[in-house]
This record gives sequence, C-alpha cells and structure tokens, in this order.
Amino acid sequence: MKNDKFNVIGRKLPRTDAYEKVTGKAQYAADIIFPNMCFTAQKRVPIPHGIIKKIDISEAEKVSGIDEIITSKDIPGTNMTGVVNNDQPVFAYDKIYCPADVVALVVGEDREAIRKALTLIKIEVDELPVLSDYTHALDNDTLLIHPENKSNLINYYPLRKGNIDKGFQESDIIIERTYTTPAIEHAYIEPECITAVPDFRKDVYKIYGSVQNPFTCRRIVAQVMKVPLANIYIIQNELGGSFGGKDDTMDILAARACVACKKVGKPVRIHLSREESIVESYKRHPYTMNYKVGVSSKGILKAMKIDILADGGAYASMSPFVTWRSVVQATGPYEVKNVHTDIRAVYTNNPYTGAMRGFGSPQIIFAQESLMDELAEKLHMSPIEIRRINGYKQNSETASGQILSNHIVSLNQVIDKATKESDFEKKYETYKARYPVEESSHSVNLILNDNQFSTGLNIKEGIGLACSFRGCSLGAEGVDATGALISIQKDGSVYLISGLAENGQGLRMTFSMIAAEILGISPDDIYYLEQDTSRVADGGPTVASRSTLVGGEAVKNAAKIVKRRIEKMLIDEWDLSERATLKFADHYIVHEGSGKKIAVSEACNKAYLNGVNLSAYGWFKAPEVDWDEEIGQGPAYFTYVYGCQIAEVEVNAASGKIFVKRVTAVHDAGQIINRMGALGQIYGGVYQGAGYGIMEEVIVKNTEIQNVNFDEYLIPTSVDVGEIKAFFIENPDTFGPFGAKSLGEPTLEITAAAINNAVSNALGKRFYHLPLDLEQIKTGKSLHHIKK
Amino acid sequence: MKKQYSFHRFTKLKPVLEFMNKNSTQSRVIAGGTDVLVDIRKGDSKFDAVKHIVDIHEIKELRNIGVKDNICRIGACCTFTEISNNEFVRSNFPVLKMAVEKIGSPQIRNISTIGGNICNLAACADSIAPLLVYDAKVRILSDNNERIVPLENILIKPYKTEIHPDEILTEILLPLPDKNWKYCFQKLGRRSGVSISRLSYAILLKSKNNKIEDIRFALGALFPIPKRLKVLEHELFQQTISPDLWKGVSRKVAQKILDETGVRWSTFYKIPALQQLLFSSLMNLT
Ligand SMILES: Cc1cc2nc3c(=O)[nH]c(=O)nc-3n(C[C@H](O)[C@H](O)[C@H](O)COP(=O)(O)OP(=O)(O)OC[C@H]3O[C@@H](n4cnc5c(N)ncnc54)[C@H](O)[C@@H]3O)c2cc1C
Repeated sequence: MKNDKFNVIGRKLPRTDAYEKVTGKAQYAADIIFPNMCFTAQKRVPIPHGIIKKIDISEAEKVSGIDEIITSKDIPGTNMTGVVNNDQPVFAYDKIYCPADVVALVVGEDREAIRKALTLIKIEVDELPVLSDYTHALDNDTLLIHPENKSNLINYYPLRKGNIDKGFQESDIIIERTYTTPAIEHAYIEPECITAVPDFRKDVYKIYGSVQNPFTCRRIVAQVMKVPLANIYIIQNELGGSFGGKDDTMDILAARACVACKKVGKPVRIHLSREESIVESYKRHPYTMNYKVGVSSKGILKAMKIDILADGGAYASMSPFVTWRSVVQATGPYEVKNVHTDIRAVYTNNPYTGAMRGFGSPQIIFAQESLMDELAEKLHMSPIEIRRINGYKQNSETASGQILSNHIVSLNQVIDKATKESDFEKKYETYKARYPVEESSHSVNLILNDNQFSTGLNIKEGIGLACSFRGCSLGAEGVDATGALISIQKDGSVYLISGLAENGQGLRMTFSMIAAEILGISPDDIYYLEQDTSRVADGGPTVASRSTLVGGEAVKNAAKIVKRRIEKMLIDEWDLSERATLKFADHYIVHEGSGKKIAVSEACNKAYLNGVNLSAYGWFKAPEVDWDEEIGQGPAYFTYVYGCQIAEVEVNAASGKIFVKRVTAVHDAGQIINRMGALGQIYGGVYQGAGYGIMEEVIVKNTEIQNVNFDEYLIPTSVDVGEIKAFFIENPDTFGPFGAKSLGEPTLEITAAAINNAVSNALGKRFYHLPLDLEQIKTGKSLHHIKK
Repeated sequence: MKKQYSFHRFTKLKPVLEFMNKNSTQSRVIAGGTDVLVDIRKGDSKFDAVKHIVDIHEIKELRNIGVKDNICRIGACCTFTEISNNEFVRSNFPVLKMAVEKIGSPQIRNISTIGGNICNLAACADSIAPLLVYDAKVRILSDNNERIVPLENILIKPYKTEIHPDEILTEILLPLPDKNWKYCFQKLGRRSGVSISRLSYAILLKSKNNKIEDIRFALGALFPIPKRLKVLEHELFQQTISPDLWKGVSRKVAQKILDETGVRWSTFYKIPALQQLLFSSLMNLT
C-alpha cells in the first residue's frame, strides 16, 4: 500500500523487532546473565504506617552465602527521591509510609541463602494509625502521612472561567452526580528487572533493565549515588510492556541495585515476582468526581462545577502532572461558558499512584461522557445531538480559555464517522425502545419472589458512545524538547537513535520509517541502536503520547540535515543550479530536470570519500504553551487530537455479565506513520479500556492490596472483546512529522465511558462506578472478598 | 524457602503403584501440574510432608477413551483437549463437552487432566458437576487393590478426596445415557477466557406429557464442593412442568445453598443471580 504523497509513511509494516519477539529471540532484562552476578531479595516493612525504631540485620548477616545486606546507611547520596517531590525513600529508615516500603536488600549469589537471611532481618516499629480512605485525607483532625507538609494535600489546581452562579441561574436543568473509579494496575507482562554492573572506571555504573525512561532513571540513580550524571549509563533492554508503569518504580529499584553494586563490587540484580511487582509498583489514581452541570432547555451547556479528589497514595510521584491534565480536560470537548473546577491529590498510606496510559483522562472522561448521555436523556435528545450542540468546533474556546485555531478541530468528523460505521442512531433507538429507560431498584431480598423472576431474554443489547479531546505531549507540565542522532555508513546503511525510548509501542519502527522517507531508503536499511543514556541527549520521558509527534520531528530534522548535505554534494557534482531539488525515493536520488540519477548507497560512499559529514543531530522543541496556576487559564497544549469510540455490548441481566461485542474506534491522530503500529495502538487501547470498564480493580483494603497476581487481578483475554473496527481521520498537524500527532493514550481513555453508556442503553439504568463488574451490575455496588 | 523435591516420571502403571506403595505418605502425584505447580509456588502446606513428585502424565494406559459394555471409560490422564475432541464424548456426553471446553485456556486444556480436576477437588472444578449428572464412577488402583466407586462417594471436602495416598485414580466410568435427555450446562465467570467459575451447574431432564420423569442437578462453585441435589431430584418426580414449578425449584436450590454456606461476601450477588439463571435455563429446557 503506497500512496502518492509518500513512499514509506502511511504504510502498514511489521515493526523492526517483530520477528525476534515472536520467535522468542528478543532479550529482555532477565534473559541477560552477567558473570558473578548477585541476586537480591527485598525486606518489606511489617506494617503500613509507623516509625522505625530499629533495623536489626545482625542475625541475617551471619547467614553463609550472602554477600551484603544493604540499608539506607549504605547510600552515598540522597535517600529521599521522587520524579516531582523528593518524598519517597529508596530505603525506609525512620518512617514507614505504606506497605510497599523496603528497609533492606539482601545481596548474594546463592538465592536460597538470600531467602533465609531475609527472614532473619528484624524491624522494630511503633505503629501509627492508618489512613486508607482518601476521601478523609483532608479532614481537619486527620493524621498526616508526611507531617513536614502540614497537610495531606499533594497539590491543588483550580480552574475558573466566567461566572458559575450566573451559569446555573441561566440553566433549565441542573443535575449533580458523583462518579468513582478504582486504582488500576498496568499489568505489563514482564515484571520489573534491573541489573547494576560496576565499571572498571571508578564510580561508573552501567545499569541494564526494563526502564521506561532512561534519563529520569539516570537522574535518580546519580542523585542517590552522588555521582555526576555522566557516570551513570542506563541501558534499556527490550521492554515487556510498560504503559507508563516502569518509571518511578524502576528508578528506585535501579538506585537500590546501584547502591548494592557499589558495596559488593559485582553486578547486582533486582527481579520482582509478579506479587512483588503488584505490591511495589504505582497504580492509576482512584478518583472521586463530583459533577454539577446546568443546561438550557435547548441543550446548551451553561455551567459546570467540578470537584475532584485523587488518591495519590503514600508518595506524590506524578500526581501533580496527572491531575493537571485532568483539570485541563475535565469539561470534555465541550464549550461551557462558566466553569469552576477544583482538583486535589492527597496523600494516604495506600499504594502510591502515578503515571499510567491515559494519565488523568480515563477517570474524567468516564464522568463527563456518562454525564453527557444522562443530560441528553433528560433533554429527550440523542447522545449525538447534545454533543453536536456543545462539542468543540473550529475556533472554539476551551475551559482554560484556549482558542482551538491552529489545528483542525475534528470532533464532529470523528463522531460522524463512528456513528455512521456503527449504525449508532438506529441501534440506539431500537435498544432504547426495547428497554425503556426507567430507574429500577436492585433487589434487596435474597430469595426472589414470583414477580422478580424475569421470563424475557436475559441478554440485553446496548450501544454507547464517548468522545474526547486530548492535549498532545507534555503541555505546560514541563520542558518539551528532544533530539535524535542519525549516522549513515558509506554503504547507505543507517544508525538511528532518539532521546525517547521504545516502550513496546513500536517507536523504533515509526522513527525508522520517518528517516527512511526523508532519505529515500527502506526502513530495513536502518539499524535502530540500543537505548543508552550515553549515546544521545536527554530528550525527556517517553510519555504523554509524545514520541511520534516530538521525537518523530527530531528524527525527521536529523535525516533532513544529512539529506541536505548529500544533496549539496550532488548538486556540485552534477553542476546543477544551487536551488535545484533532488528526489530521494526507492533507494535512488534523482534530478528530474536533467535525468541524473544515483543509488543512495553510491551517493553515501561518494560523500564518505569526499569527507562529507553523514551524521547529524536533529532537535525539536515544542511550541510555547502557558498556564496560570491561580485561575487555571492558558493555552495548555500546542495541539490536540480527537477521538470517538462506540461500544456495543450484550449484558446478561441475570448474571450482570457484560460482553463487549464490538467497538468502533475513530481517531484523528493526524497523518498515520505506520498503519500497522497505529492499528495495534487501537486494538490494545480498546482492550485496556474495556478492562477498565468491566473488570479491572486493584482492591485495596486498609492499604493492603488484596489481588496481587493475575488469578485475581483480571485483565481481558483475547476472547473478552469481540470485533474492533478501527478508522483513522488524518488531518495533518502543523507541528508533527508529516502532520502526525498522538494516538497511544486516546485509544484507551474513552472505551470505559462508551461501555458505560452502552450498558445504560441496554438496561435503562445508569451506573456511576467502575468497574462494571458482575456485582456492580446486579447489586449496584462492588463486593470484595477480603483476605484475613 | 523453596523446597526441593525428587521427581519421578513413569510411563507404565505398575511401577507407579509399586512406588506409591513404598513411599505413599511422602509422595504426590503430578498429572498436568496445573494445580500442583501453582500450589508448590504458593508454598501450600499440603506439600509439607512431600518429598517425591510422581509424574503420571505420560502413562499411556491412563490416556485412553473407549467404550465397552455400554460404559464409556475415560483415562484419568486424558487432557481436556483430548476429551473435548473425542467424537464419542461429544455426541454422548454433551454436558461434559460443554464444561471442559470452557476450562482455562487452550494452553491449560492441552495439559490439564480430568483426573487432576477431580483429585484436586476445588469448589469450582468444572468437570465434576457434569460427571455427577452422568452418574460417573471412578476406578481407583493401588498396588494391591482395585475399587470402583461412585464419584460422589469420594468427594469429601474442598481439596480432600477419599483417595488414599498409595492410590491412583485411573479411570472415569460413565454409563451410556440414552438420547432422550434434555440438558444444559452453565458456567459463569468474571470473564470469557481463563476464568474461575463463580457458579456452574449441569442439568439433565427427561419429561413426558409435561411431567418430569427424571431430573438431575449438579452444582459447582456454590457449595464447598460440587454436588448433586438428589433430594430435590426425587421431590420433582412426576411433577407438572410450569414456570411456577421452576421458580420454586430455583428458590429451593438457593435456599439450600444459603442453609449450607450461610451469608458470605458474595451471597448478595450469587443467590439472586443463580435463581434467575437457573430459572431461565429450566424454562429454556422445556
Ligand atoms: C490458568 C489456569 C486456569 C484454570 N482454569 C480452570 C477452569 O476453568 N476450570 C477448572 O475446573 N479448573 C481450572 N484450572 C485448574 C486446573 O487446571 C484443573 O483443576 C485441572 O484439571 C488439574 O489437572 P492437572 O492434570 O493439571 O492436575 P495436577 O495439578 O497434576 O494435579 C492436581 C491434584 O490431583 C492429584 N492427581 C492428579 N491426577 C491424579 C490421579 N490420576 N490419581 C490421584 N491423584 C491425582 C495431584 O496429586 C494433585 O493433588 C485452571 C488452572 C490454571 C493454572
């Protein structure tokens, strides 16, 4: 599949690492064995909250076969770290903040000895009361998790627009609803693994592992080791999934391994079991969201008052950034003149929460899109109509006062396409007529009486829609720039690396295709280098669906620099006018006017012999964005994407079981670079979103996670979602490479909301809490098996 | 600390029985290992005294499916894939086929065995309810003894069967049912693949002139172990089929579960859901 505009871009190509991954040849962190390598075991705290009085390792140290027991005392630099606030100890030493805290690392080559020593470490503690219910974290008399902060508030963002009271006065219908969402586990298949390897040079360490963001990891390790950044090499292995989850956790594990490595002088590996992984890693934030919304009888949104509380758990981690995205996008893609939003993230003793695919959007979209459908019902409008009336159009103004003018606002386009492809309106009306909307209450008696038995079909069909807008990349969160390095060999083969790391999403292929397009070669000619912090400049983290957009543009710029040099050389040699342009395509460079032609490989050899520099650094710095923290106003992101998903479900009214029969997903991600990769993002995103919708929940009881393996933490299997119909709208963007934007997170963030609306359409009853598991549907609440 | 075991693989029945005879209290059979390996990793106390793991998965004599004298014999080490692919089982024991097809995932079904499912005796063991409605018997061998007993008789309590440490379950014996049974099997899990049963039931029904001639119920994941409801079955003999009868039956089953298990965390979900599901199934049968 080749189109006129491009040779490589937009094609459907298998990724560079597909063969190795499918055949099991790819090497993941745990596959690599270093000589004399030590294994480790982590000693976790015995209680969720308290003061450590003594850590006694004297008995444990006597176990023969272990090398060392590492505690906070062995840390050369700082013990308190964090990606935003320095509030998380690498090794707990005076205070216990949550059950995942680790006080010591037993190191040795003999795994049995390590396990034995682990049981002999004694920790003396004074217990403190526990704060697990985050809705009480800001109560006046509550206990403080980090007393030095004087409050459990991690961060607070207000957003004020217009006059909220006036807005409600102008409203004919006002509804107020509370929505809640649970903590979610990333559920990457590969658990965390990291190995710190000493170098022959003093104070130099090479760290290999399943690290999402090598540069963040390097910063934390260097800080803990008290060595310059340049002394720490983070080398990323193949990542067996991350979804935002291999950041802080990996950084801290890397720091622990490195501290141990310094002490034992041998490679030290930390490799978590699944249970440890689920206990130790951060989660997606649980949210409690209160939405009060006013609308005129014609369906025009007049006012939205939003109050959101997020459980940050024991550490701030990414809470300030996650909740910032929520405040920007909390009203959804709808014009509302009067908005009053407050969002707070708070500390508790619960598992800490941080970055996860979606990053503060799946929660608010669940609320706002459920709310839109409920409003439509109240107004006797279709879900499409209310969105058409209020949805963003070209030059609309967002809640934060940003005018959407520099890109094509395609909300209506994606909704139109999705509703057409799924035959939404007809199905919606049919199902609704079959099961008239009425509030039926859940039965409270255990034994049914005669009229509680239903003789109709148990399976009820429903269809539901949800849509979103999403700011691309980091926005006003932070510095948004990245680089890429390209180096062409004299035979035309190419080394490529960017400052952003492969996370399993297929970035290496996307970047290879971008470079190949510019240079007129094939992605197969490109060898993508292993990610190593010493090879390329710090380009920030692989997050926020920014890789293709920001990293891709840097790759494009790098390739263009080299291309220009080759072009100049050939123009000289072929005696062409200085302004002549050459066409690089299909492995040849052609001057169309004169018919002159040379193979790319030959041109590269020529360049090499002429001393032309065939390597270059490309850089891309995102356009300026801005945010006023006092009132929550400003152009938050430099461009946005739009998506709409329609879920078709079959709900078994007897058992409460939902089957997601079909999802029609339409996304405007700008120009698609690798169609196969893009489809993969949609398929994976929809599955992950469906899991959020109907089954996933990290069950936390008194700070303790109850479901610590995949027998109890359920994610969808390949038979749990039926068909996924994926479509792209490709409105080119001004900034991204060839007009590309973002796709990774948009595909996941709307699915649960669409499913919730579909379930309402099926049952004629609304739900306000995720997940929509069997018990939620049947009894109106989740029921949990709590272990003793 | 991780324990070490000695591992013994046998390909013939006789030597296993001899080995078990000598080392009964310290041995544990492994067939597919899909329960054993999970338990060992968990550090389950049932392995505290175990020193030898005895692998019987490759014993050909335990992997046949055949019919003789109107009895279908399924070897204890037959995998669920082998059972669900067997034409004879498919056409004569549709409830069993429906149940085993829903167990775990293809990978699990390719290795896990019906004998293991019975001997592990989890509340949610999916093959047991169907075997119970087909009046299955089991053949149990030790080095010096052979016995054939109704399956029901060896099911004691969760994770505990009445198979002695020196014995091996070798075969499941199923009398050939006639073709007049109407049947249904229901498994409900939280998801569609690789799913632990929240509840399951198998029902066989024979009726004439709208009167029940014979009915068999077996339930999984609702009582501590899978169970036939014989008292209820007898009560229903010659009763006239009607929606009201089925409502009453559903309620009775629910009440019996409540009486035996009391109110648990899941009761407020399970009991109402079960009644409606059972009622719908019974209505669909008739
Ligand atoms: C991912 C996964 C999904 C699963 N899904 C399901 C499911 O959907 N439904 C379900 O019912 N189960 C399920 N199981 C549980 C398990 O697969 C079944 O119980 C299976 O039938 C066990 O068979 P096995 O051959 O693997 O038994 P093993 O693990 O080898 O043995 C189980 C027990 O039986 C004993 N034993 C085995 N064979 C004999 C014999 N012939 N004589 C005497 N003792 C014997 C063993 O000593 C052991 O105590 C699942 C397990 C996993 C890991």
